[in-house]
Amino acid sequence: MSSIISRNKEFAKVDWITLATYISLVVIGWMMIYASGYSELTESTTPFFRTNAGKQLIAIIISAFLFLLVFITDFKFWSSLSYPIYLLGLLFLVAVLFFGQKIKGSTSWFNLGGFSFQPSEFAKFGTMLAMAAYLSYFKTNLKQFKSRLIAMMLFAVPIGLILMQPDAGSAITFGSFFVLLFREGFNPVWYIIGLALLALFILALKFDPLYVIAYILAIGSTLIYSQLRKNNQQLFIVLASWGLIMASYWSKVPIMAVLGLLGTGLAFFIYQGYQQRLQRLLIILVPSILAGAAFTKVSQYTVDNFLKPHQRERINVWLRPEMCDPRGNLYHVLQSKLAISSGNFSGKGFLEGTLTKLNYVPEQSTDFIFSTIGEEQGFLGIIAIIGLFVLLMLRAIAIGERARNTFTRVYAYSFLGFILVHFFINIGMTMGLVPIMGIPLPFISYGGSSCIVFSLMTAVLLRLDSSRHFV
Amino acid sequence: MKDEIIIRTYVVFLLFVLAGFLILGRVVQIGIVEGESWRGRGDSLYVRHQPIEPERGNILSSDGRMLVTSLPLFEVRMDLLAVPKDKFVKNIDSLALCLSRHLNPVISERAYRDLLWRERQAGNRYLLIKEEVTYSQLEKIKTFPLFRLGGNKGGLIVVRKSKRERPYRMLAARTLGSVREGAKPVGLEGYYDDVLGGEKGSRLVQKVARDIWVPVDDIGDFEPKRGKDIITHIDIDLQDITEQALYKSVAHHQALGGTAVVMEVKTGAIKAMANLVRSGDDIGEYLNYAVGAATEPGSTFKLATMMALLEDGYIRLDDRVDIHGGEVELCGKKIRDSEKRKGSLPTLKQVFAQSSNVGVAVTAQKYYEKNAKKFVKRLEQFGLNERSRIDLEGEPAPYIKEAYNVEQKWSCTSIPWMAHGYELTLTPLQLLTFYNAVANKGRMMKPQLVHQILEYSEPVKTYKPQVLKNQICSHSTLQQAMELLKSTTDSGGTAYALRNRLYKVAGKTGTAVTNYYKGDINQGKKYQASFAGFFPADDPVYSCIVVIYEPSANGYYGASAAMPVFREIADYSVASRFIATEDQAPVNTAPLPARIRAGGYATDIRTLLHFSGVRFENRCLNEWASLSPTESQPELTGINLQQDLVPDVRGMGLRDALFLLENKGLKVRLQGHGRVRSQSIAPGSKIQGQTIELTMG
Repeated sequence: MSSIISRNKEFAKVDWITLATYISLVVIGWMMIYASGYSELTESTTPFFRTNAGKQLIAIIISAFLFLLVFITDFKFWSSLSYPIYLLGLLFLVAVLFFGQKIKGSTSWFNLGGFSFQPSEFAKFGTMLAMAAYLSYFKTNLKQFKSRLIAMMLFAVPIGLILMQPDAGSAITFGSFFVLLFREGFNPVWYIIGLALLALFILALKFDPLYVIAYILAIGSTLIYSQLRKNNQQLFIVLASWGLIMASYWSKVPIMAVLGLLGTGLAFFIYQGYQQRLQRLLIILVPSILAGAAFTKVSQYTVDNFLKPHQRERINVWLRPEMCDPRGNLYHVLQSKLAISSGNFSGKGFLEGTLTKLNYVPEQSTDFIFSTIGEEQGFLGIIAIIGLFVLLMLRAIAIGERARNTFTRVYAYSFLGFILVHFFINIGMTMGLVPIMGIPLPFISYGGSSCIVFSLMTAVLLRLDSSRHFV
Repeated sequence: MKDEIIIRTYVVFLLFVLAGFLILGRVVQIGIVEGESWRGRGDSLYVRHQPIEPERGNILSSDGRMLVTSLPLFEVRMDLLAVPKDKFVKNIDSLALCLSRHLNPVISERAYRDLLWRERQAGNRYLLIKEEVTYSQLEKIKTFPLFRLGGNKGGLIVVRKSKRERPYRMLAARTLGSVREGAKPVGLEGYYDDVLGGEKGSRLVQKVARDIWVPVDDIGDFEPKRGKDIITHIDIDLQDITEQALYKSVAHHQALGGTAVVMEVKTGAIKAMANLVRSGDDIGEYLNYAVGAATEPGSTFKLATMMALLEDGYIRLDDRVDIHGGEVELCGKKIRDSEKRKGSLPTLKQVFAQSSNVGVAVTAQKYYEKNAKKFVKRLEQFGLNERSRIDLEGEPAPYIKEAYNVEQKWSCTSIPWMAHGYELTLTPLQLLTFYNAVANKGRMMKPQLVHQILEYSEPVKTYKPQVLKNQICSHSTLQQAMELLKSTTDSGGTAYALRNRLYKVAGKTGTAVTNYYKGDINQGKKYQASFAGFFPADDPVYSCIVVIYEPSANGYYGASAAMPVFREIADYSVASRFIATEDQAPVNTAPLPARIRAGGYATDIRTLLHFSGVRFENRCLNEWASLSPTESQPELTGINLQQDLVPDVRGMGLRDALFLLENKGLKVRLQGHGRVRSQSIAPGSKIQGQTIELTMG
């Protein structure tokens, strides 16, 4: 079978829905970048290819070229060159620390004569390939601790290097590999613990941590009570615990006194549980309660004392906006929410967004591009964008599950993870749902490296999928 | 095993669907639930009300001459990005040349070119070219390269401002006050700020591009309301004489400063108020001593002591007092007269006329030592413990101790020392108010600077003379007080030098030592020379106080430092009341064509004529016009305003004339009041920055 013919057949097997979704996102993205730089009244003296929209167009053309390149290479090229690409990515990450350009306090960029290149974007692609290669290796067995450790090391190393730039936002996106690892069989208990800690962290900052601890103690008492042979005295203590919390909420009962009483109540139940031989429950519950309470207090302390000022500000903007100066860091989110809400149902129309044109939303072509969509395209535009991303992720699952080899499946789930994290964090931060991190919206945000790398990821995904019948 | 994978796949699927719904939920929350409040905030971002500053009112003298007015000025800025690059490159050299040659020769052409380049690179859209530019300069600037293309294409931005101008410069400057950016105005400008300031207007402007706001046509616009004018009681000529006389004295005696106030006896109207402060070699109007400086008055206060004694019936003016040869020790402290005296015991009248400290102190101690309350109560009766309530800010209350109040350090010395004007403080104006009451047959008037408030030249409020105290003392006390004050000009009296054959003066000198309590007499005593009184003594018209602070050369006594100032003021006032002065017509005056009746801003005149129903022939196509009567009906003809030629301002009001002339770059000097009767430079002459003199009438 000649290779030319096979390639033609491979083109025929391209997942057209994914490709169409990808193209739609890129086109919409470019239009929004154009809109965010547009202003009919200021006479622009910059030539088109030096404007954001112009530069992005170049990146899109390069991406299209890469797409073609990926499709004329053999699909095995990617699995065999996984590790070299991964190592190249790491090399870039190391090199950028020495030769990179410092912009706004982090050394995340190479400046190559007018073009800048962000190695952390490329490292995402490399790590995806390496992960796919490792997990599809026949000796790898995720049931073994060693394999799990190596798998996690694969993305922990780039995270470490990126944190040295420092660029916490990009580093966090590598956490998306946990989505893949879940699919590959990681124990869900760890995910539950992780989510619980995240919830405690949010609660501790949103509310007084001492109140959160009070709730933890009361919940602990209630849990033990539910397992006891009951009597009225115990019921009374449980009810009294909850009553105390309510009372302390409505009136000025000193919180330390409340904590003392709740702690005594909990001790009572622990003693009762011990007498009634509920050791198993206690062994899990008591350390959890103590750890939870400690974590609650520690997390607030950490935010207030150990984070860098700009990071603390961002967390405050997210969870404690009342503490922030609306002209300072809160400004981003306020302006962005304003723009989104001003779009109403159908938006003000393309190039009609007043707030966008007047540059009210900072960084509206990069991280805050979603606010431009909200203003000019309205609720309908937002639904369309969300729909396109959800569709893309759905296709990634489909491609992963129909793949006949592990490499493609792992790659597809890694892809999905990255898209999910970028999608949720970027859009979420424009609306105050998550703290502000400098993370682009894939395919949409202005930025050559991000556009090219995400296009490359998509291209490889489609290429791997199109050759699914060969393995 | 298979099932578990399916479950895990679904969990992942649910994860991103959940993410999608979370985002959607937030969008709904922002867009719909909180939508209204967000959108409300949004509107306020690109539409706003921009205040329009009103024109500030004028301050006029009693005869309607302009003491303070506002002149139009312009701030010139440039939007460097408004010009396309090719045009900019082509014109920058010639623009820099023009700027350097016509605007600021200190900055070279090259420096201007570099500046413009640099600021264009930096994207400056609001570069300050020159801060204060007159109308004529602005017209010139508009012809510069690039700028002649106008605002949108050439980048010229003109911001209209106005500048407070005092045509009489230093005259009464501190009394009139000043308006300063970012601070409360002082003087009359401050006290009548609400009246002069007018009401801010506002207009709706919309942001159309970065940093560019354009007005929106909207009925929500509010025109600014021009400030009202105020007419003061100040008599410019008297003020001028007062200030000059004071200046001479402060300079001659090398004093720290001085103040002189002239008050109309019957009404309390302030006719002149001068304050001079030395600062280095410069002497100027910087502080208002008259209103703000409370000091120990010294001998001028003896009048109050004598009146208290008389009112209580303790003394008669021909009682004799032992003055112990001019030096006595009371309560362990020595009181001295200015010179040793020998011979027979003087009467109390002589004690006053010669200003014997010992005589007054001993007498007061004799009657009031045991009932000081009575003395203090008399002082209160004379209104000496209250503010004068003049219409200026910053007047402190007089300080007079409560009788026997230990906390206020009342002691044995208090009565004798208060008796000759120490251990208490008063401002010059407060003391003058008291003297004025004596002159006004016991009726104490509130000193008042402002007479009327005008709106569009119509009085809207008139301040009537205000009585502070109807009768400060009995008729007989007054008569005797008058006798005392006249006696100072008798032979041997301290004010003998004021004696003349034309008119009589009643008054009292004062020489206070200002640093006696500090104990550092080694550095030399410091003095405060003063004179308070009124004239003509028999039918007082004006009362006046003069205080010279720390005279350090050529005599420090009230009689030598302060009295000559008083004398000049009194001489001028009396002379101008009895000898009519004639306005001398300046040379080179173009005679006023008899037919011109009025001139001014054409629209104003037309509005006025329409309003009053006068039919007239409209032949005016110009912005400025003059109205002249003909056989049938008045005719409105245009006034030709040509560049570089002196316009015809005859018949115009001062405002219009000043506006036209100053804008043409002429300096204006004024005489008289009313409409312009003649101008010293004939209409049509070439303008070369001359000074033009206008005679009003």
